[in-house]
Amino acid sequence: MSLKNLAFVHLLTELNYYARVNQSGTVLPRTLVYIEEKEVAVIPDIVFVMRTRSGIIQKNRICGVPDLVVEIVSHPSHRDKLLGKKKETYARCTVPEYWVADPFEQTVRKYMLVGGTYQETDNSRLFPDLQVQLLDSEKG
Amino acid sequence: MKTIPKAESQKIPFQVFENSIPNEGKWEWIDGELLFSDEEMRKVILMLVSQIGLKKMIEIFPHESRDELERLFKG
Repeated sequence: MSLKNLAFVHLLTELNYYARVNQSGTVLPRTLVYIEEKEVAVIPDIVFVMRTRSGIIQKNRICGVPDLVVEIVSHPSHRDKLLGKKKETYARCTVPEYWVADPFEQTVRKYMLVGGTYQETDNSRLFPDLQVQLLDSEKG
Repeated sequence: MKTIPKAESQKIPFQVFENSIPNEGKWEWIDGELLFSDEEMRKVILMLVSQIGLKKMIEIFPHESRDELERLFKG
């Protein structure tokens, strides 16, 4: 399994478990997110939608702005896209939180939208006490 | 391995297929543009045109596009 897929399964499991236990919302893998007014259709690796906003989840897509988007670096050359165009796009769409998981550096960068731009933070508002640690591929 | 579209349809070797999948297989759209790099776009177009062949590609084009293409070649 690739480093990206290992990180994907790990993050999806952790986030889904947390959201279920806290009944805070829905975690979805690789789902089409369509934000009509911003002319954006993307397929993030993981999205989270708060329970109070679950109406935006439709049969095969999310029509609206998710509360959290998580993207995972698949190759070191892929970082620029996630920290450039994608980050700008999610800020423009007013996605409140954006995480970039990098299995090559074993980091999860968390960004919170403040005044229209993302600021890196250690604390997530949506998953406040969740400690996400990407696994070392050597240790599985 | 070079992908060279020919007049007729060609089979796509697995290596070409694997190397030509753009953006991890995700078709994403932002501000009216596909989120592919120039290199990803080049590879996927060459693969698709190789698969259908140039003849079929021209058939698919609307008349306006064929005329445009002709003008470009005469250019």
